[in-house]
Amino acid sequence: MNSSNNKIGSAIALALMLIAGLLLSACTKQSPNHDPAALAKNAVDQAQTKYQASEQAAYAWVPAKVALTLATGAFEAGDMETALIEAERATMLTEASLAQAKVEQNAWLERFPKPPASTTETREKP
Amino acid sequence: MSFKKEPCNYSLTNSPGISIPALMNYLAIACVVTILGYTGLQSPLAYGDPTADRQAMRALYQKRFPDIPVEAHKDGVYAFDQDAREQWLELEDFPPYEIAIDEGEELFNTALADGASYSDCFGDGAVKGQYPYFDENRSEVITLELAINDCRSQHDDQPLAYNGPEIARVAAYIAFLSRDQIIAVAEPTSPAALAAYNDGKRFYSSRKGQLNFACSSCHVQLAGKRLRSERLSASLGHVTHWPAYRLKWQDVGSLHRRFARCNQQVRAEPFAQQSPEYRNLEYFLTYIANGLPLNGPAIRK
Repeated sequence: MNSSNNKIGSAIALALMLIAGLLLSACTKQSPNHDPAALAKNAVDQAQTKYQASEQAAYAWVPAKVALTLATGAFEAGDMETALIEAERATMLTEASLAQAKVEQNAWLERFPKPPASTTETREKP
Repeated sequence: MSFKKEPCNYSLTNSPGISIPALMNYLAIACVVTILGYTGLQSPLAYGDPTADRQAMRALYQKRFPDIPVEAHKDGVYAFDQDAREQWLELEDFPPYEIAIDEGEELFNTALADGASYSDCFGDGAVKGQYPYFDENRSEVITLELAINDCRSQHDDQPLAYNGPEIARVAAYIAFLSRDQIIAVAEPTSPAALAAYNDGKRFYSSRKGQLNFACSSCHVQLAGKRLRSERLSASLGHVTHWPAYRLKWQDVGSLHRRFARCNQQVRAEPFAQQSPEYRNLEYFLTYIANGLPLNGPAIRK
C-alpha cells in the first residue's frame, strides 16, 4: 500500500515538475526581454537617442555614427545579432563622447595659452 | 532674487560659540558666493579678452619660433621648414590654382538672375580683407562665402552649394584680387560679438572626436613638431591663404572644408560648411591673425 502510494506521489511530483518546466519555458519565450527582434530594436533606439544627444552637444563621433548606421542596416535586414552588437557598440562610443563633452565644458579654458604677465600691462588700444 | 538653500546639504553639528541662526547665515552666504563664482566662470568676461588672447598666441609662437617673424607665419609650415618651403616655391612657379582664378573671374563677371553681377555687391572684388566680420543686426558672423550667397539671393539667384566648386572659384578670384591686404578684424566688443568670438575660441581649444584632439593640440602644443612625415603649422597663418589648392583634393577648396577634414581626422563628426560653429571658429582665428597679410589662393599639401 505504502509503496503504491509512493509511486503515485512520485508520478504526480514528476508530472508537476514537467508542467512547471513547460510553463516556464513558454513564459520565457513569450517575454519581450528575450525576443531577439525586441532586444535589437530596444538597443538601436537607445543608441539613436544617445547619438542625438551627442550631436546636440556638438560632440558626435564618426565611429559612433558608423556603428549606428550598421546597427540600423542590420536591423532592417533582419540580422538581429549584428544589430544588437553594433547598437551596443554605438551606445558605448556615444557615452564616451558625452563624457568628453562634459569634461571639455571647463577643461578647454585651462588649455588656452595664458598671456605673459608683461604683455597684459602694455595692452594695445582697440 | 532668492537663492534656494537645498544645494547646501549641511548638517548642524555641535559648534560651541556660534549660534544656529548665525551659522545658517554663514552657510547662506557661502552658498551665494559659490553660485556667483560658478556663474562668473561661465560669463564671457571670464574667458579673457580678445586682445589678451591675441597677445598670448603671438607671444607663444614668438617663444616657440624665436627666429621667425610673426608675419612669416602667413606661409604656414613653409615659414619654418626649409625643405618643404623650397618644394612649395617651385610649385608656385606654375601654380595649379590659376585655372580656378580664371574660372572665378568668369563667374564673377557673369550676370546674376536679375541682370546684376557680383560687382554690384563687391565693387572691384578686392574685398577679402573685410571678412569675416560680426554683423550686429543679424547677430552672426559673416564670411566671404556667406556674403557671396547673400549677394546671389539679393539678386534673385539661387545660392551656391558651400561644398561645391563654383563658390570656391569665385572666392579664389576675390582672394587673388585681395592679396597683400592686411587682416584687420575689428575687436569684438558687443556681448553678441564676444559670444561668437568666445564660441570660436572654445571650439579651437576643445578636444573632440575619438582621438581626443583639439585644434590647439596640434597647432599650439605640437606646432613645429612632426606628425608622421608632416610638420605641424602655427595657427597664426591659418586663415591668410584661403581658398587653397590642396594637392590632396586636386582642387581649390575652402577653409571650412579644411576644418571639416581636420575634425574627421580626429574621428569627430564634422559640421556643415558655413555652419555657425565653423564661422565662429574662422572669426576667432582671423582676429588672432590680425596684422598678417592675405596671400591666397595658395598651394597646400
